[in-house]
Amino acid sequence: MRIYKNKKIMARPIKETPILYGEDARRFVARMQEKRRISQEERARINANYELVLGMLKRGEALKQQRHATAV
Amino acid sequence: MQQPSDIASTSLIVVKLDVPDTVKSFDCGDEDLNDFILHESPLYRKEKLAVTYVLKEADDIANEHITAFFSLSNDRISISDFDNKTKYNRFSRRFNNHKRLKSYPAAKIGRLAVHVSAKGMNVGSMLLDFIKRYFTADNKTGCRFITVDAYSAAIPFYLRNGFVPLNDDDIDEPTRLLYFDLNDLDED
Repeated sequence: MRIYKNKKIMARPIKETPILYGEDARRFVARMQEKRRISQEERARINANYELVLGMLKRGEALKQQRHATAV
Repeated sequence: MQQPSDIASTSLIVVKLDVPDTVKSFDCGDEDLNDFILHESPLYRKEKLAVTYVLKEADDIANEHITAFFSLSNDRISISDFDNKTKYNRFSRRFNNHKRLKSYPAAKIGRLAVHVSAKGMNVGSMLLDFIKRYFTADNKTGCRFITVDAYSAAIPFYLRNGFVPLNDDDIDEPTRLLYFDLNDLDED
């Protein structure tokens, strides 16, 4: 527990994913078996963002290794 | 939707935080999420329950001005043959080895937040798109779904990005569990 702006706070724990029963389980399975496809435009955007962030991640990891090596 | 070209032209990097790493300051406008990255996320890393990635400027070595972060962990979605938890518990107490559960592998976004100064730049969608492809582009261990423990204010954002609620049990809670089926990304 911490004090933030005169209030006691603590971040909520990440919630566990529950087991699905009954109607929830049936709805989930039915949706899983449905064939849905995203549009070509959406796919292009997702791929572009993936490549963009992957590049950032690779640069970040390379920089981290470089700094570790310098520190050693 | 705004393209992230303005973000691409900067010197931003993404780094997975190590156990001893800390984030010095962060403000996404939600105290609870701020508290998570500033104080709680190291505990998840230490216990190997979740890993956290930060988006930041390359020269921000001490994590003093991070733009966004997201935490990932392994997850699963399990479905039961039973109509409710009571019936399932009664059965599983009698027959320990017969769980009658079917589980599907998933990756969970525990928390994802963007700094107030970067709101409206589609940074959240960019990171979400990355996570979706990250688990399909090189699917090393099998992962069918992305789940998220979403804060109620962020639920419209996840719905716009193809997520659906797992059930209605948490409809009035501060966070809701949603999922995205990675098969939706398959090409015909």
